Amino acid sequence: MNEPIENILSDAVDGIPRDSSKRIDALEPSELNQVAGELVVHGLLRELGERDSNQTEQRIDRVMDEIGGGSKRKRRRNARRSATGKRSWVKITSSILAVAAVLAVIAYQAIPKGDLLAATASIDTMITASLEEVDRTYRVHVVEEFTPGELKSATPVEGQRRQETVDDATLVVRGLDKFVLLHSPISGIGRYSGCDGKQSWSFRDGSPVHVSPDLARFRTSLPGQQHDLPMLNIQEHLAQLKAGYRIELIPGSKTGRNGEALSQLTGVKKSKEIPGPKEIEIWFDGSAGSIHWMLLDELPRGQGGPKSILLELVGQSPVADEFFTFQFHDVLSRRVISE
Amino acid sequence: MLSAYLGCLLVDENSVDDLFQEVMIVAWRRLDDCDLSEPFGPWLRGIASRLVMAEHRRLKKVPLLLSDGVRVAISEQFENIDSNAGDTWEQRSAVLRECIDSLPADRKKMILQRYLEGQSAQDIATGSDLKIEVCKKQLQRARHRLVQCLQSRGFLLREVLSHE
Repeated sequence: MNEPIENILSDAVDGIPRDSSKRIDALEPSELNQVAGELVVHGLLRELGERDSNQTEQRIDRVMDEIGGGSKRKRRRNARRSATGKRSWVKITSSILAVAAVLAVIAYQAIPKGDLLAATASIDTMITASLEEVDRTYRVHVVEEFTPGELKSATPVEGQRRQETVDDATLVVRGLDKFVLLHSPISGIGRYSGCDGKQSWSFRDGSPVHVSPDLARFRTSLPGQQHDLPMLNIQEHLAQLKAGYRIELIPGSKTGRNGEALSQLTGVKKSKEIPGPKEIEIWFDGSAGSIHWMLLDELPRGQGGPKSILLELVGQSPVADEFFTFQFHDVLSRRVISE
Repeated sequence: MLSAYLGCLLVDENSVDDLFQEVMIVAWRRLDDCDLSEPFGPWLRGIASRLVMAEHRRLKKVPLLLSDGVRVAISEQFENIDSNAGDTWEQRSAVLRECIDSLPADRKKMILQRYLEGQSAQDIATGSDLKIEVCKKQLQRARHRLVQCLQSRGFLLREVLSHE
């Protein structure tokens, strides 16, 4: 005798595992109606619960903003303003590619969360743009440092210089694996790191040059030694953004320095297990895909380092190929240590 | 509504986000195959159905209930919702909430615990001092009453056209 279908149904929706090698007889039309109806209700209830929990999070966020987080938002605004030279933003009413607009309309009208489709596609556009052999220069701004209280449980890296900071550093990137990062001198001592596509290198004023065939060797350039600057490994970071963050796209809502239509992509980390900052905000050229601003907020505390940083595109002028070699910057011909 | 559809196909709660994104990416890549003069939802759910079944097969956990006939019937129910139950989630969920409110208090509490608080049937049973089988049965009856309520409002079809 067959087991009642409602028992099988109940086990399936309430998560009781069954032997999937068993088969059930073909369902009578009434049973088929029953199963389909209850599975639909189960799906709708699950979505209701998910959406309600999101609303709860938003409510909590609003309350947190009111009681203290508002200052954080203000800091972000100020950082962005200083980065743009108090530029007034002009709303874009046109110039979004027709195809993108049609797809966005379809996504928005036809399905909930449909903007995910466009958001994911925009990340692909950014990845493609980052692979081009175009030179882009970014200025790094530290928006917020961890307070001493927040760092109480963190273990500083041995020998880490307290004054070491990435604030006001200049980063020049070209394509997949060429970059130079010039730290702003502290007490007259500069720090330089980079990769010419064949080897990576790093040195400080007054110290030997370290070189390595491992192209990723000197990417962990943020104090605390646990984070890449995202522009140094942009493909991986953007891929992680797709997989590990809840992403949202707001097409063409600001203009860049040269009148480009900039779209905003935001990402909120899905879970604490995922490495990287809690929130990411990117302003990028919607058609070219180049990133103009990238805010990384609430970086993992780990071993110290900044809590929040902003990268600002300051130029796209080409540099000489030699610029990415250490010899270009090592004017004193220091001793070279191969690793 | 795509998340709801994935839920119908018994996708594990932890996998919904991944499958959701996967469906979107596949849809994006195959957009040229989509007839934009036709409703978008069924096309998207077709992609979702194939990806979900592939995932169930990969995990060697194909649910017994998800026969072709059941999946077609689910799709018909969603097409009815698309056509007759409002354009936005707010409009659609309002009907669902009214039906939840119409449940007896103990069943309503159980549904809220299960879906809005995210408790498992076992958690609810333990918290209510019920045997798990009793709890499962009560949940199942509550869902059945919701089906009847939604059918009475035209939100769900009383009979789907497809047969096994």
